[in-house]
Amino acid sequence: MAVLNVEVVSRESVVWRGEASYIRARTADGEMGILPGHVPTMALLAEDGELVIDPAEGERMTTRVHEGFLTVSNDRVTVAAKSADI
Amino acid sequence: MGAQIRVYRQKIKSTSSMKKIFKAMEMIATSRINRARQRSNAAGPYANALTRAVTAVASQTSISHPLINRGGESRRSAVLVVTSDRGLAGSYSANVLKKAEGLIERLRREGREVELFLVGRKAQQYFEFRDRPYEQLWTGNTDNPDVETATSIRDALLGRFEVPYEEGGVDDMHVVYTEFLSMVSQEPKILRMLPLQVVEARDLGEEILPGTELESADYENEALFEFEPSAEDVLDALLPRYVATRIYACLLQAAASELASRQRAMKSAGDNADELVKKYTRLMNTARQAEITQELSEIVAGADSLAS
Repeated sequence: MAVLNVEVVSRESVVWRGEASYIRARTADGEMGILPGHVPTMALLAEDGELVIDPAEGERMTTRVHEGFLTVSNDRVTVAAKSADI
Repeated sequence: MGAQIRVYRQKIKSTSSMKKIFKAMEMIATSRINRARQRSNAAGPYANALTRAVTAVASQTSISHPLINRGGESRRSAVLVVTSDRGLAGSYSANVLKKAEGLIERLRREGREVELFLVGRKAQQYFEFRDRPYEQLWTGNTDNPDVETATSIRDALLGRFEVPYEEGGVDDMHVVYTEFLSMVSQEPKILRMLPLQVVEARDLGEEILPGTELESADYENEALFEFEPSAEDVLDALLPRYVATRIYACLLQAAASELASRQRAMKSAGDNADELVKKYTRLMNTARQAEITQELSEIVAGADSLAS
């Protein structure tokens, strides 16, 4: 099964990097779920939103991201935020 | 004669204690360079993500944004000069200031007014001594810059940039900083920050953070992006962050360069102290020998006069 290559970066460091099967993020307009094969997207995330990652292996993770944005292309997901904590 | 030996002994003592200080400062600088470079590398992924995103938005849509270009000629420029807080770094600050003076001179010749924004106490001293006004100043952490400083610089500069010329705003903005090429080579550079020139991602990637190349899987030959909420909003939100990231990258580069210059300056100061100690030791030995010789000849002369 296809997986998403995920990278969560903050201004100072890479917070998390790995493979995931599903991601949910809160954008300015509402919740957004991303599965492998998602159309190329660039979205602004909410000021202080929740980011849920289902890694390919292991437990579901929930983080908070501040002033972030998200890009999806070719199953590569990059979440770049002012700050993020896992 | 005894006085001369004492003078040399004092000089040797003070020079060797200075040597210890130089050595300590050299070691501090060496350990901090690595930290500064690590931070520069750690900031790379975020900068790359932003650069790729901005490039993608700007190349896929034909929006014109005031930060990217605006018509008309430039009549007033902002110049951000990044120097150090402390000296003891060889010609580090002097080189940046010289480069900045060249730029200011050039801008003035082209008939533009120049507004100065300074980072580091060395720049402050330089311009205050010459009674030249500056707009704003940031000091206190040039060898260990944080994101907040970069954001505050960004806010100040964008604030001036958004105001039209007639109301005292600036039309473009330059940064003079020192690029860290390697441990032995750092070069003062001028970077035109605003208006932004969004060119190919690869070019930008090299410019924004040397040493962190963009990965090959860039957004070429790909379907158009969907934007949420809209391309304009995305660009609006990303561009100021992009500017802050680039300023932060400049500050980190400057910090690494400052530390490398300091390390080199302290190393050669330590070497010079070594030389001096050696020289003074020789002179002291000569003086002692001369004293002994004189005493001997006085004794012999005294004995001679008694014997005759």
